[in-house]
Amino acid sequence: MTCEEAKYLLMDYLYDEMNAENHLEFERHLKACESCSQELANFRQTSQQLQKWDDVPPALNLTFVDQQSRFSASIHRRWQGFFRLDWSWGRRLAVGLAVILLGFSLTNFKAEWKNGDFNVKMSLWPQAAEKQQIADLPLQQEELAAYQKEQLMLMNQMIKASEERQRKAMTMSLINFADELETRRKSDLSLVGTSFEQLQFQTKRELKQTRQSLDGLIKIMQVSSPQSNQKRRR
Amino acid sequence: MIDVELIEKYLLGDIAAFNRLVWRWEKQIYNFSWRMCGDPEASKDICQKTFIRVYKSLKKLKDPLKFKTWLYQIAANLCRDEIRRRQKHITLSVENLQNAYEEGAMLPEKLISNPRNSPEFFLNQTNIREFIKKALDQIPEEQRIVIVMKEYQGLKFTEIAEILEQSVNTIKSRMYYGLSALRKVFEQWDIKKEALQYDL
Repeated sequence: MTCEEAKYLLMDYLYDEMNAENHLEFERHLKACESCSQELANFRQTSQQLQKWDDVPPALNLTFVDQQSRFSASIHRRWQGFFRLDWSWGRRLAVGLAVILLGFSLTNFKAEWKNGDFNVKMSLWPQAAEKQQIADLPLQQEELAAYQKEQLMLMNQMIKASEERQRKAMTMSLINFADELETRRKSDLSLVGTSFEQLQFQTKRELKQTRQSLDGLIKIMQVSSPQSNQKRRR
Repeated sequence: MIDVELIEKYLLGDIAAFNRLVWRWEKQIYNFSWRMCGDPEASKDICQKTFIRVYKSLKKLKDPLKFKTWLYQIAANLCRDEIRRRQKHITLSVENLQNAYEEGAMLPEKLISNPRNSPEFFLNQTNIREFIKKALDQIPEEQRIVIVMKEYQGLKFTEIAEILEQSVNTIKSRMYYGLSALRKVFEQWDIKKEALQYDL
């Protein structure tokens, strides 16, 4: 394998993505080529330096909920659709129809074909029977209930998602706290151990000094005592 | 495989599965964006936009096994847009190296003299982060993105090639030259090996 070929395989080797076949040959080349070995060592060092930059938690609270309820979505679509009309002719048509219908509704317009007669009635005030019909409107009430139910479901989903996130965050905090506590405990124990060692060393040194002093004193006494015996004999 | 299961559950209507998918990946995407853009607030924004796009388009993903590379593709595109929006143009040039040296000039003396006696300056994560970020800012964007994906996101060369839509050899070449350029930056700032390997 030449250095040129080895250069192309360097990244694969550095990040353990080399196949077995090239692996053996590449390592053989590294043993024989100091330049390539040095280059690999340099890359490894740079990679290790880069690894000093740790990840951080994002502190985001991303939570997704279901799309809009069918009822509100249909209302939204209809509302958006209204504004997409071609205003050049459709506007006139829509406005015209709206005016006509508004007029009919305001005047309680009623047209009926009965027994060959075509009757048209209009009045500003609704009849008593019609008032009762308007007041009932069960269909609208059902839709309203369905809408409220969907809103409640949405809120429940959001609350559940939020609770799960909080539980997860709490668990991580407790784990981090336990790790930190353990690290501090070990550090404190190490400090205490070091202090005891220092104290022991100092005590030994002082004892040694004391012993040396005593030895010196004993020697002096021994030296002086034969001399005094000799004097007494004289 | 967990991603595939969560995607399948979401496609059947389980929004909680989608949220679990988001929580699995948000830290990685956030840190990737941060290392590319350098701004925590912009990175949060990119992270949110990434997952919003995923939410809107996940149903169109044909192969759920490709979710990881697809996700990183979205994030990488958003990062590029952000960088271009800021009109950053970083090239490895003598002038930039000189500027980097001058900006980093306050670093070497304290480090070289006795790094063990100056912990208040360098030996904490914030300063290490700033230092490496400055070094990464000196190399071209195309090399930087490959290095970030490889060193920090742990992606394979084939995955990076798929994300960036380049050949594997091109990716390896960018990695090679990117690491070489970073080494030159570190040498230019005269940072000793021991200084960066010191841990509190």
